[in-house]
Amino acid sequence: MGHIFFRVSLIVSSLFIFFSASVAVDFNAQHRVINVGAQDAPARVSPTTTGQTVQALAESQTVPGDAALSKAEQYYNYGEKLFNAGDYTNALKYFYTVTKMDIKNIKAWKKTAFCYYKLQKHNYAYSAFKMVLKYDPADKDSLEFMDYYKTIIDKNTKGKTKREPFDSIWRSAVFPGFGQVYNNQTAKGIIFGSAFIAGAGLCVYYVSDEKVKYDKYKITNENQDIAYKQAQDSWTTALVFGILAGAVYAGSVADAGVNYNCDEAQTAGLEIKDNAVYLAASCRW
Amino acid sequence: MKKAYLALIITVAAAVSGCTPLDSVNPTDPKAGNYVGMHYMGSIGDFALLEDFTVLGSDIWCADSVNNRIYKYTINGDLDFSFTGGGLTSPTGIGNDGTFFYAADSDTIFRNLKRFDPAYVSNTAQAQLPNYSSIYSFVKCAASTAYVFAATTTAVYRFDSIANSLTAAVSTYPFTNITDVKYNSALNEVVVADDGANNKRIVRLDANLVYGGNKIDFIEDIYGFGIKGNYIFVPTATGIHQLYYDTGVEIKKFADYGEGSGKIISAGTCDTYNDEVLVGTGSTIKCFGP
Repeated sequence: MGHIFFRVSLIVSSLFIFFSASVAVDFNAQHRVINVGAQDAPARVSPTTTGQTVQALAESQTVPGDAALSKAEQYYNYGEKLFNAGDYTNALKYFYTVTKMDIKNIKAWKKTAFCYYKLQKHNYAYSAFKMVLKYDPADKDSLEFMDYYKTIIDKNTKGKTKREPFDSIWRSAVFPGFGQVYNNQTAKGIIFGSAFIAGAGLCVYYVSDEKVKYDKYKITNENQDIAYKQAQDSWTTALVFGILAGAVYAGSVADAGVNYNCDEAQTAGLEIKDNAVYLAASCRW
Repeated sequence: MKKAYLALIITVAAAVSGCTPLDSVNPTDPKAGNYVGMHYMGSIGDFALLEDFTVLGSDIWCADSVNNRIYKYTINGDLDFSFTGGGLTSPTGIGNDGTFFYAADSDTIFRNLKRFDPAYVSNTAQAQLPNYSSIYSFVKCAASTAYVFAATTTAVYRFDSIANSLTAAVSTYPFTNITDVKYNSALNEVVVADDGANNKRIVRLDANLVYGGNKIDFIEDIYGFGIKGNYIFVPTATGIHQLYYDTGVEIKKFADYGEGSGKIISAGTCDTYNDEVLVGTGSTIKCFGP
């Protein structure tokens, strides 16, 4: 890559584990990464300051440089110096002015996009990269960034797909936890499924145990009290586990119906923060 | 959400508390609706070969012919006392008159019939009854306050326990294999179990050992019986038969059900204590009660 711009720091930055029975709380708020609206991206090319304003500002400044160079080149070079110095805000003004002077200046568009990226104005960066690709569809840097942004856009678009409660309910009705997994609440689904399997399994075990002990009671001719109590205890235990399994089942169905439109819960993903990309792991309830 | 939790807890609690218990359907279970009225309560003693036993007061006196020993157990099953010797080499029969107990020894040499005072904790017999014991081979015995009824395998003899003499009473009924003899104080009768090859019966004799026509026939082996009021209990290979003493009509059969120690699968000796029926199996005494 031409620019070592994508400093990847693969560290597990956070592990958010939220276990809560409440279904009314929006736990997804703190996990949003970037929300780039693809449909209105071109309209956002224009920064908060208009092109004329930046141009006037740029022209009003004394630009050190080779007098033989064009004004656009001088602006670009000076913007580059500011960029290298980390002054992205001012560098952006020069690069953007260059694009106003020469709308097909790919280098200026790319630098503009980088500045927006550095300033974490991803909507504008996205639009600027689109302009680069408009004039140079093979630009590798822009293509990589666009892929990255498209991935995020796709995820957000997919996550916001409206679902019907029945889709989740019938899945949980088929097997507890399945609906939660469908709702992107994998951890909860695993817990529901495991609890149901454990409860139902123990219920079946104790039902079988009760049957053996009750049969033994029915034919014994000594210590009937003990034999009866053993059978009764097994039956009661089976009942308790059966009720628990039933409660888990009912809870799973109800929970699946309530959280049918839950946003996607990523267990691991990339997160941009402080000009670095982090691996963010999360586990949401 | 707290309401949801509360509702769930209440539902579970209600389901658990409202669940019906298992049906008690075992006929040997006193709580069952089809209870037969008697059930196994436990066993008393551990014998090499329990030949006979008798309940005197709240004690059980037992004769073990292999260990050559007389045992005294409490009705609760505790071994209180035992002795050997005392002129007994192979006791096979034991009975009581309400005060003393008597032991018949089938040893071919001594053939003793001795009376013991249960209050006297010793192997010393209070009396040897009678001197004719060297003539007769007594295998079982019973006693009233005045007489001792000693049985060989084919006849019953009456002795005056006070005068220590044979008082001209010998049964004439054609017994072939006497296995038990008891005295019924309520009717002043001597009752004999005869386990012959072709005739298995319980025969009632009067105090003079005369047969009055009262007998109960069986098709199974009978080694003993117990009497309680107007009931007679007879353990056989198919359980314990409860019959009316006066008519011989069978009322019911118990100890014939299921698996475990509470089943009688062979004939045995028998006696009663209050409402309990005790059955000797050869190695122990099984107790059945209401």
